[in-house]
Amino acid sequence: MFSKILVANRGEIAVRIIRTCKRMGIKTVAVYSEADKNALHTRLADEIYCIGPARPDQSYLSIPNVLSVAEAAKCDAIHPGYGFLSENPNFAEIVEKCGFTFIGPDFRAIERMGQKSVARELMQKNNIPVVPGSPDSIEDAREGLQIAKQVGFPVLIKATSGGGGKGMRLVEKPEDFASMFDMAKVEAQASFGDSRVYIEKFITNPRHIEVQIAGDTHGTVVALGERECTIQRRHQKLLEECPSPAVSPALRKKLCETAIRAAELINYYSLGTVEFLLDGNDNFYFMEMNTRLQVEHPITELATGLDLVEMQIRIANGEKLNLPYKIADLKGWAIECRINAESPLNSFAPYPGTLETYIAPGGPWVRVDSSAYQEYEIAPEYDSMIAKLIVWGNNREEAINRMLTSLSEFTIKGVDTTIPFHEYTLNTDTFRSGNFNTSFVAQHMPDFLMKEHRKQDMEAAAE
Amino acid sequence: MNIQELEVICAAMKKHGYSSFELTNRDKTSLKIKLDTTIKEVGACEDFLAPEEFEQDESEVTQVEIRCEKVGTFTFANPLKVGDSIRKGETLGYVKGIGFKDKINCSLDGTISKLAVKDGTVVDYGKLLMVVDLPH
Repeated sequence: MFSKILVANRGEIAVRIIRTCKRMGIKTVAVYSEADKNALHTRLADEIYCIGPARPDQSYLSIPNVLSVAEAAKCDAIHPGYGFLSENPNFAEIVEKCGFTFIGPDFRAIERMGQKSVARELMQKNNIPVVPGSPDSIEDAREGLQIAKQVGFPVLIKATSGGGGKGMRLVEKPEDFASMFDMAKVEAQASFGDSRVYIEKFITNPRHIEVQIAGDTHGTVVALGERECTIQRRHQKLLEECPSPAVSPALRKKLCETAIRAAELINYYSLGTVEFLLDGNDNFYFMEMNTRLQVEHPITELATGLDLVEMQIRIANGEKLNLPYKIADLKGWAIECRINAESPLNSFAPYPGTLETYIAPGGPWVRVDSSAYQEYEIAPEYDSMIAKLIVWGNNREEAINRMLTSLSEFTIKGVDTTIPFHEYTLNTDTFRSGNFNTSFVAQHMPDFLMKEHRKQDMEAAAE
Repeated sequence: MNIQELEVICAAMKKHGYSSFELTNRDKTSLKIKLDTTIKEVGACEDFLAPEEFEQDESEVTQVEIRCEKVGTFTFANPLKVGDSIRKGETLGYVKGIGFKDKINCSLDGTISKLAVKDGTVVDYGKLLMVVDLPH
């Protein structure tokens, strides 16, 4: 087993990884930027090194600085977490060439799956359904418009090297295509250093379902059930469930078998997530594969009883999965709410600032993954996440009610948070019925705003 | 967008040294903010120097701290000790990491008053390497 792991990340995920390493008796090395000198991960790790100023490109994305720490601190493996360098195939390759173990998949798998159009083409060739669209990246707006007309509007223009909704544009009509195409290319270049884009038909009001898979270096791939990730704003997830209320046992089997096949096509090892769009008739389409630990991995952990970070480390160490199943049985129901420093009353605009009060909830089957504490500063350079609140229940209703209790207990002052929107969502008939799609946030926003303004007026009147 | 939100953006720009900000919405409305960083804000006490302090500022610099800007292992170019004179442009040491070996050069003439690292020390970003006293 590894004796010392460098955690090349920050925030809650660095804390999460360090906790598992400690339990496994592995020493940890944390890296941090000047803006994070008081961050929780620097207090929990065995050794800490400053790797640069606040700007991510000069610190958390600086491959020479991260690797130099790994060498100087005599680490034997590097865990990239999610975001930053986690899906950078060059980084994964250099890590291995420098003699460290990359706790993730082979760099060639990251490269193939990272180029979304290459991944689509591979799936298509192997009879895995994909959303209709361009077979490859599109360089020219006129060529793109031709393809958009063939697959039918509305279409999505997506960054070839993209993810997280960046470099993505929804085009409803042909006359908007050229300007949206240019904007998507500029944003893709700025976000990923790669301006290539491709086109996909926009499936109206689908659900976003993903399957967690794990593969070892001995050729075994298993599926650890699905996650429901339909509640999103700006193509970024807000609330996730495991399992999905839309997935029957028969559909789960199909989804999981397809995800396993997708991973086996590229001899995949480590954790990975295969994302699908699900339409109203139980048709599903491969969207992309994320070759890293996902933000929402804890709901799978609660529904399967597995520590996915430990599993990832053991796979990187060459160990066999040794699970008694090919497709995991999910037990009970888990929900995660992303508590972000954002203003839901103002289109979820980021709200950086200092947490003047921070009191996290607790109790049975309540988990808070966070790096925050009282007086912690949510820096504008990084994402706005304060905490992930995760609960488990014997069934969906119990999990929803436990989440509502926990949200009401969560006290954060100093910044606006997504808590009011989560409370609203969990109380809607639409959410409780389980029958919702990706337009949930847009459709419910007016009602949410009206209720919140009314609540504020009443509070003001009472004072 | 309201005035409070604009203030939040301006404060973040100032804090992180950005002088311009552009935002284009989906409806093609756009916002451009340019900060004139040469103007001092009235009331920003911590940034504002009284005239006599301002005049003394340059002449009162008696020491320079040499800090590391990379992560790696530090080695001296030549053996150094407190009290040694060093010249502008002299290479004091090296920081070697993966894929680079950076020189640490002295930017001014002076005398070493403190050595904060030993040969072979692992240094990180911002780490104090040595302090140099400047001649009066």
